[in-house]
Amino acid sequence: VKGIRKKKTLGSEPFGPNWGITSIVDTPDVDQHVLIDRARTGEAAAFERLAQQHAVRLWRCALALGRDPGWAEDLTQETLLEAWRSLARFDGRCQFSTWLHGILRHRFLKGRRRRNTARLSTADGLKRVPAAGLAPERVAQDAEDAQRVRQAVANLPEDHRVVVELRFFAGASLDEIAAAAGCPPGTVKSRLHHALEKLRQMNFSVNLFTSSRESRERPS
Amino acid sequence: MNDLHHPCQPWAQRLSLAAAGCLSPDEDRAVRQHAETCAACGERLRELTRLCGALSATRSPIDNTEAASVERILAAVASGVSERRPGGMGSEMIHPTLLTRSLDTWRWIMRHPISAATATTVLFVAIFAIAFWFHVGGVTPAYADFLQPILEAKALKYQVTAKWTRIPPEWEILPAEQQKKFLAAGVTTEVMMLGADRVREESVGPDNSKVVHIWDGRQGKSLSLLPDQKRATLSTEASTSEHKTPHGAQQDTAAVFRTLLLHACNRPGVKAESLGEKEIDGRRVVGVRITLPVAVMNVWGDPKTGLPYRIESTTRMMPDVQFTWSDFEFNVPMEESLFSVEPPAGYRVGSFFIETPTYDGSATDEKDLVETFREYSRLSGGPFPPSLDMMGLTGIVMNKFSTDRMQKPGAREEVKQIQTKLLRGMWFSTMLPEQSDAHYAGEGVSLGAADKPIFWYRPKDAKKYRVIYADLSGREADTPPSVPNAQPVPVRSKGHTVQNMNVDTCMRMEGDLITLFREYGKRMGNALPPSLDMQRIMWTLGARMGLEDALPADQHLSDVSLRKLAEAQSHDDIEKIVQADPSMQKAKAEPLRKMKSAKPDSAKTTTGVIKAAEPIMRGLAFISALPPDADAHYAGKGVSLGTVDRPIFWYRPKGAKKYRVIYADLSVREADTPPGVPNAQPVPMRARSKG
Repeated sequence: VKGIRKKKTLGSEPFGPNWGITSIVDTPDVDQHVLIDRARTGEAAAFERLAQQHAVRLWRCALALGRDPGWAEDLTQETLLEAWRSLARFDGRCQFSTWLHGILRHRFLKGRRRRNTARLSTADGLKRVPAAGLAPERVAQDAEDAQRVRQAVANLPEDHRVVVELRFFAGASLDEIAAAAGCPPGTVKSRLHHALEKLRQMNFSVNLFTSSRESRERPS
Repeated sequence: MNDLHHPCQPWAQRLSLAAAGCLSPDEDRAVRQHAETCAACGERLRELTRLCGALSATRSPIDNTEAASVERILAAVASGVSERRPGGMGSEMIHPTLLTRSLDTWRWIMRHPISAATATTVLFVAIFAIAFWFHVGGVTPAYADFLQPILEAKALKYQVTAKWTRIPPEWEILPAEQQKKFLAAGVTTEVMMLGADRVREESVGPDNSKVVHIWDGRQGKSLSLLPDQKRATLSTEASTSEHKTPHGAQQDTAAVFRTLLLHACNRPGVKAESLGEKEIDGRRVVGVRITLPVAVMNVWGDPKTGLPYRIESTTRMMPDVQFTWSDFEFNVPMEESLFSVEPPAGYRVGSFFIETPTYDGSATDEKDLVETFREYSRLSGGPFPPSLDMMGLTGIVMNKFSTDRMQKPGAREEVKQIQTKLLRGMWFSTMLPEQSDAHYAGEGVSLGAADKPIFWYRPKDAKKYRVIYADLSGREADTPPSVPNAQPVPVRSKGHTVQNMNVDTCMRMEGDLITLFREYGKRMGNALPPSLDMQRIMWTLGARMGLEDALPADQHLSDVSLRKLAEAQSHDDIEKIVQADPSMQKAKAEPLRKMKSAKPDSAKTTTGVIKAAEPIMRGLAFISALPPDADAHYAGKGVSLGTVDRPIFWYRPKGAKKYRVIYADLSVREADTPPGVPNAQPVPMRARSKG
């Protein structure tokens, strides 16, 4: 499409646009490369700009991994600061975001050992404050629908849950998921496929993904 | 349901990945071509697409919790990277990112320099009135007996509540429900004063967020805290020294209180009238209305104690804010620790608050007002403010200082200087007495025209008017200019329109449009609206609900019928859908007849679905608020929700160089130029549906 700067979609990152990412603007590679080069020379403002571009997605990935908003904040912060300190080691062989997700995984594993705590049950860590300003009925309906879906995802095996949450809740690309989950992209594809199949089968039995809202809507 | 037969098994994983948006365009195309020729794979792809849509839908756009978290992260990162900056600003200096300020307007308002300055100014004025109350005629002599305890009060505590009577422009970006909530809740501040030189203020916003300010004049330090976020800003003498004198005091309200109490007698320009007696909270109180050049205050006092009980105040600078002072307590014990300016343990120290502008109490004059006009015009690119009160002047600063701009070196100091310039001009205009016959006519006028009067007044004891023109020249005139719709000063702000939406505001409201697409697609078999015409969308949704209503509970319209319905424009079209859909054979006649009788542009039909279609309405509101120069276009006709790489809507936010482009998979990207999609419809458009 004329005029649109798109992310690379072939080669090392064979993806189309992320599903439903509504608030994250894809970063034009050329701008990002310039920022990385400037940050490497010690220009803090350039790195702050990079941090702005990646913080939301990293935070969501951290939440998917750690299932604790407070820990996700710490992990994201640590990841970005470590990236700043280690920027000289970024060799450009993978996407910058993929590199960040690798650091995130490292921090996550390190933190998990230190925390030595059991995983939170079900989707507790993913409970979200509803978007501001919505009507109470709408909030309740959305919450009900979302909770049903999240519960189903939470019931998946851990490996499957993580890839689904990283992909759909965090909006991560395949390579980013691979870096964050610590497995090859092919494994991510396989896990994602099997996870979706399980959810599809679940849907047949309990009508999981049909919004309760629809059945309530009738003209007055 | 239908597992794939053996020859299609190799497609299984690719179908999943296609639905999840994880294939390259070529791979995706191949999968979809196969799905079109294979019923089982086609069905599975549809199921998986719906499943993936449901999974994505559970993740809302950035919410306040997330935004606050990300903002903290970025602040910490900014702090961390600045430590390595050569000749940097030091580890305690953290630039506020303001990345998400539009998502958390209240925090922004609380940090806004002008808001802070105004609150202090109002505090100043209110204390003046309290002091004066004890001296005006009509108050019984017994009140004089009570001056002494106030003068000698070692500790003073009271509460101030600010309530808005009209939506300030900076709230317009919030949803209507939240605006109402903010209006109802207001802001409550608990003020504690210990001696003449220590003050603690705890403010609670409408969203229950808390901000604490502590000032210690002995040490020349002040501490501001955001307890929810465990963040602290420490300011030292160097940045507050200009506030130390009583008249310029922005912190030392206790000193102001005492000074004015001693010197308030015989002040010119002060009018006092008795309000008689009444009961407040079961207590008999007597009142006096004090009219000051800058404020009107109703002061209610308890004749038994001689102490003020409640004060209601409005000021010229913020005519839409009603302040109420209450719960006065004198000489109550207070913990010293409450006034500590040491950052509490566990708090991150940085510059999380924008510094307040300096107003040194010096006299202002016409030159200050001219500078205010010049400054505002510079910021706005030409136009003068819509009004000369706080609301008319503040919005431009919020709009101009976007996230990016605040990141630049010196931006904070620049904001401070701008606010100071705006404040001084406003102070001059609001201090003008009624006899000056001051008027403002700058709304809609831009800097430049030498013959266009924008402000005039008659200086004290002067016979001639001073007139300021749009080229900011000043001349004298025997009579005031005759300009239609000139606003007397002080004026009531008309506020800003949403057409002033900047990038941050647009990005927030854009989520409503994305929700419209998602909700419409969910109801209409993944179809997108053929146009962004409200009547048409409402009629289609009404027809869909009518058809569903006519069906038995266990029957639903097929996706094919829903997609056809999205394209329907008349009863004939609906009739064809009814005849072609097998499930409609069992439809109940009466609801069907009622549904069919509704005309596409029927207001009744529209009204009937508005409640259910609230997210749709919000999205349409966003579109209608876009200014013409946003160059907004819609290209979703015939496109299915989820289609990869297909732009369906684009626009350019005010002040932005790039377009924002929404794709059919509801992703958003930025582009230097608008997408080249044929037959894109300009937005907003006129209704096209016909009955």
